[in-house]
Amino acid sequence: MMDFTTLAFLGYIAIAAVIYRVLPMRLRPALILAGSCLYYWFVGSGLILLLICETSLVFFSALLLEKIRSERLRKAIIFTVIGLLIGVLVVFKGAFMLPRRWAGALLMPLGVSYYTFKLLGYLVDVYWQVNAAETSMVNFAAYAAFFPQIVAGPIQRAESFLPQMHGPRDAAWEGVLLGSQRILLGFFKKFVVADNLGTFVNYVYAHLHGGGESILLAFYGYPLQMYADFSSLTDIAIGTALLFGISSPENFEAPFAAPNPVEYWRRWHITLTLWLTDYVFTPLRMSTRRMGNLGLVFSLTVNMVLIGLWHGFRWTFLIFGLLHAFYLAVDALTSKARRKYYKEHPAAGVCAGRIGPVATFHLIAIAFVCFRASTPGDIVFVLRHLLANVTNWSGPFASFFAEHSRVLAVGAGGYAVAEVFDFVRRQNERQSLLKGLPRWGRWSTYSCTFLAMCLLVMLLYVKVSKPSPFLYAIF
Amino acid sequence: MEIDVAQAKFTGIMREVFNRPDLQYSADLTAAEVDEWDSLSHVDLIVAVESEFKIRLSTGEVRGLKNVGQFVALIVKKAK
Repeated sequence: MMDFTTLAFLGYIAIAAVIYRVLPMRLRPALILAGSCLYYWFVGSGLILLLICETSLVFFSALLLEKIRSERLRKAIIFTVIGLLIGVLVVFKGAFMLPRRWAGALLMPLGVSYYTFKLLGYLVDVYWQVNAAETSMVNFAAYAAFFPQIVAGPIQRAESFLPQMHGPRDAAWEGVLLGSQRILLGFFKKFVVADNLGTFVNYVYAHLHGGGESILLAFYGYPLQMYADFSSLTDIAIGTALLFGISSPENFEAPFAAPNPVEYWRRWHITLTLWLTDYVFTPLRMSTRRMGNLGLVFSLTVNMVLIGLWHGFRWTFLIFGLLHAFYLAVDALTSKARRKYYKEHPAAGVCAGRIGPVATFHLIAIAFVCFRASTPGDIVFVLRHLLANVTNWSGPFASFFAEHSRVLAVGAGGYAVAEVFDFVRRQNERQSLLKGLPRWGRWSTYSCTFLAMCLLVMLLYVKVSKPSPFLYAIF
Repeated sequence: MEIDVAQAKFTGIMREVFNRPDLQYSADLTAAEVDEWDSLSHVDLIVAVESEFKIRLSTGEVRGLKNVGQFVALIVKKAK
């Protein structure tokens, strides 16, 4: 298995990036496609055939949609293909509900959620005549199968990816530098933050009903662990894509600094939120626009329930979606009145601005309890016992804490460092700070990045423990 | 319908829906430049436009719009 955080993966992308740079420009899309297929083969997914079938189906359907004039026929094609793609996704997402002997034959193909969303979005845009159908099968297949994005996104739109295939830009040194730094940041978030915080969170959830565990620790720890884990996947994906000269959309933008739930969803899993906004929420809202606020609440609820169930068909994910729908509906329905009130009472506005991110974080953390708990009963248990055993720990938990307190300190401290790195990175990318540095400053940055990469390779080489799986890679 | 009439009416609707009396018409203006213009208020804007210009817009037509200039051009085309 070639996980993102293995030496094998780093070796694979390094070799592929070197070949990519020496190949003539016109062959680069073919290399991206071949590299993606090879990666798919390496990770042991025997279901590459499904990716090939779905990609071919969407490619030819899009060309057909452009040629056909009859609206009835166009509708028949689009609804059939959407039905097929969603049907396949539902079968795999719901496989765990089948008896074990059948479910075993339905192993989730790697990245099926991500490439299905990419294919659906592309096809609907061609149907709406927002974008033209791609005429090169190689370019289109490279888009669908692009390996850095296949594990957990970001869900890049065809309109942003395909132009980069038509005239592939040279993978400039700046891209290699930024890509390497981004990969390093991803590894830091995964190994230093997510895995260390996860040690405590996993312990608490594994011993939930034992009594004597500090549930509050897991309540605060899990959102940070999830963010570090998931955003590390995005960092490695974006960084790897940059090595090939491909720029990808961002997936996170300081989500825990969001002042309200609506803003939170603009900063968390951004590409999935935008995808659902364009292809689910807006069409639904347009159909229910004459129903006023009822239509708004209905559209929000369907959208958020889909986000919940996208992670799998479990009651806990459904509750997660419904809770977020409730947050968003309250936020949306009161936003005008709040804005008016804050305009008339500026002091209240300032106060809300300070409290907003803290209150929003707690609302999000409650929703994450629904996401992490195994059953609805566990959700109720965790929320009812949040403040239980804050100081009154059981013997086993006290000795576990004593043994692992440094791990927690490193995880929490690492989280703060990762946030600072992310802030500096965003500023650098927005203002191209590196270009403004004197020569010695630029070369120091290159050297530090190179040394950090060498150190990472060394650490991975001596790492004896099995790499822990990414939380989000299973979705 | 004349384009300048549509522009003036559209500006009035934007100011009303987003509660921003200071908004000025610019063909290049995008939703990203107006804080109050998000996916939720976007539909309010569409409902107000449909009611004012007595037209019906589809999801596909709205999805392709990149800026205010394209929105007004679509209104003029539909109102003919």
